[in-house]
Amino acid sequence: MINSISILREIIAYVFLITGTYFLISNAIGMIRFPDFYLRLHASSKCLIAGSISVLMGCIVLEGISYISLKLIIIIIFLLITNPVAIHAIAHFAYNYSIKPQKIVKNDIKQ
Amino acid sequence: MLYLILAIILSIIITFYRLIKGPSVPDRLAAMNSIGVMFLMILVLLSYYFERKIYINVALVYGVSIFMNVLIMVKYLQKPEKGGSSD
Repeated sequence: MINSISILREIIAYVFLITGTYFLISNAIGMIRFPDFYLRLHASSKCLIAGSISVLMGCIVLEGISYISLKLIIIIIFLLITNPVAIHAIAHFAYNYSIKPQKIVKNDIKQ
Repeated sequence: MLYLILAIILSIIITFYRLIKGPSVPDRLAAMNSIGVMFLMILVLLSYYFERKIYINVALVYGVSIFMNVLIMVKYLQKPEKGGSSD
């Protein structure tokens, strides 16, 4: 009984880890395949936060309840707060750097 | 666990192409942010691979470091604004 619970925990943890690694690889492919800067930033932000949180969730399931998993939860909360802030700062910097989207129809910021 | 680390290293190498060849400065910044978070995941997975869980503290401090890195680079690479309105 205890052995089957342990095997089930490992299966769930490896599903989380493989999903996170898949998201990180798709982030890398999106960084080299998309034609425009803003498309690249879009792929980077979403796939990066999904992949990192999924990998850390897999590590938490593999660990169980301890102080190590508390530290991993702190890393998750920190990434959830800081990664959108960093991506938003890069996008604001790019607009001030006079990089516009290629097929833009209507510019709301410029009025 | 080792194959997952190798797959993330492969994705870092693919992203490093954008860091070298990126046509503009914000491309390089976005690639640098991606490489930083991927390396954070490698640090967490390596602490499980070597079975020394105390190494997670290194990842915890590195996560603060990459955020400060991106914000400081964005602040000091900006063009000076013409109107003088500091934002």
